[in-house]
Amino acid sequence: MVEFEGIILHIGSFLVIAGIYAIINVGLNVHYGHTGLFNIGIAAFFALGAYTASILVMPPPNPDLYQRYEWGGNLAFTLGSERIGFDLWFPLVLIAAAAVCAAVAYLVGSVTIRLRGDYLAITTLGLGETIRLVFTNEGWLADGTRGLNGIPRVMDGLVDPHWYDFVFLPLVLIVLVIVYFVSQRLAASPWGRVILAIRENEDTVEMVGKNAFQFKLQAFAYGAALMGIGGALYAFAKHSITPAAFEPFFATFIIWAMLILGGSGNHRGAILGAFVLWAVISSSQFLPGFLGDPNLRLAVIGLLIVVVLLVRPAGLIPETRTRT
Amino acid sequence: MTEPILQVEDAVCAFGGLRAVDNCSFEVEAGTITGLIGPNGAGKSTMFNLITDMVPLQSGRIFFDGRRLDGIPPHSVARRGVARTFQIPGELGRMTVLENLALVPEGQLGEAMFTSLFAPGIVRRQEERIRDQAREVLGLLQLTHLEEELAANLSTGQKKLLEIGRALMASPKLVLLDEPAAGVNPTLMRNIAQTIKGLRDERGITWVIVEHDVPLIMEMSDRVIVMAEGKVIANGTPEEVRSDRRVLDAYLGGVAA
Repeated sequence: MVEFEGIILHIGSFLVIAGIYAIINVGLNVHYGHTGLFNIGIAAFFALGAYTASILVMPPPNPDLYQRYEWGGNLAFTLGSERIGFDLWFPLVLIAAAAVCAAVAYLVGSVTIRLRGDYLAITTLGLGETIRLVFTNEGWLADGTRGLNGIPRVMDGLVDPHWYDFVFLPLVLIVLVIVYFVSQRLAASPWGRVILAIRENEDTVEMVGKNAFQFKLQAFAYGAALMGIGGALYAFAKHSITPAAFEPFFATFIIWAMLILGGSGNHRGAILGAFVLWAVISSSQFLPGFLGDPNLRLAVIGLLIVVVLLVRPAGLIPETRTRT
Repeated sequence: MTEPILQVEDAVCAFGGLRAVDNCSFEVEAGTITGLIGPNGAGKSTMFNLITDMVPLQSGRIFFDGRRLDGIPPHSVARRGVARTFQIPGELGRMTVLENLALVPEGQLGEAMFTSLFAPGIVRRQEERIRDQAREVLGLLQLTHLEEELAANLSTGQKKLLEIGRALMASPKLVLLDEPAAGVNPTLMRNIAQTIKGLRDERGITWVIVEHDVPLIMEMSDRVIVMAEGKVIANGTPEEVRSDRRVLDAYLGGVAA
């Protein structure tokens, strides 16, 4: 019976995290799959979203306990069920996380987005590391390497904390569905057509009178906003965050692996890729003996990508042209 | 003599020590077809890149419709009414032929994210008009049956036609065609030449055409400009150019004296 309960709990937490990765992966698909922007600094927006949301909802730290860490928005109390009957803060901080990420992407993009291919990749990688180091070193902001703990939960107290994932899961899935439909509508719109055309041939886009720079900037900001929403949900799912959670491996590269696996250029592929890869990663710990070794997982991910690229070069769900 | 729509004054563009375009000056009259010919490496395509600001002009000036055209971004050049095609087709490979054309028209409300999300009805109505226009252009180029085909799957000749189609979708004042006939079935190209003349006469569109098919150019052009080694070596009616000694030299191996 304990065994069974453990499996159910594992499935709950698996679906929550996979759903969050799926949201972020739709963002990456907007960047790379549709616009052709080679962003390997997903961690920047992942972290920024997580920290923005957490800092806004956390109560101010007790000055007796902390020397440097100073501020918390306390929204969980002022706009939460204790005060106004329901957790209004939850949608608000998701929007705030999205807005902060979009704004940072817009600012950074306005000086870097003209760079093509690998040059943009290098600057985004740098941005990811920079954001992580800011949260590591600026102790006043979010308590440095110790990170933020006890991040308030939305709809807390509804069930035993043990089963909390099953309260949070529907919320994650609702956000995923909204993100999917909004992104899908944009992809099928004339805006999405310009975005795809930029991926195909930027000179052609310029020569028909479209300001490719502006469109790339918008796509960069939009994708970053989705990554920020994913980051915010991640912080609430994990209940605590530290800068170490946003190191490039888990916050950038496995998301890339998810996109390649699922099928770049296709939001459904991006979502499927997130669920499949996270299933592989999160269940490999149950494998017997040396097969459950965390380091071996990396090899398994690599092998999986190689196999998929050989068998289905365009990913599990290849890109199909959206007809409007 | 009407007003020139395009004026190139002392244009210079050098790549390292090579002066690809070397002090070129010429004018193009509105509502005419001008052939731009010359041996490989004469600077014809570079001239198109200069006019469309894809390559910066190092000295000299370019005027279009009386206003400076140099030193502005390529998309602004396009919005002034200059369309161009590429020698190596710039098709959008993983998009359908129809999408390649529907991309082009200016003032698409659905290009704003907000409008696409919150006013889909308005966007759809405009989109229907754009698609009708695109189908009309496809009919003109005999590509109707390929409407839903991915542009990457077209033959070289079909891609060339798609280039022309893209230029036509922009409702341009001036079209720069870079080797439109290469790889296109000659019979179809004769038809397209007639279409180009028709658009000149009916809509007053001005055409500048780079082409190696000299008989075709001589037949369809009102004026012909000949370039060699970055310089304009002849400029006149097809008859004048045909009998020009320097042109023969340039084409037959010698360098213009």
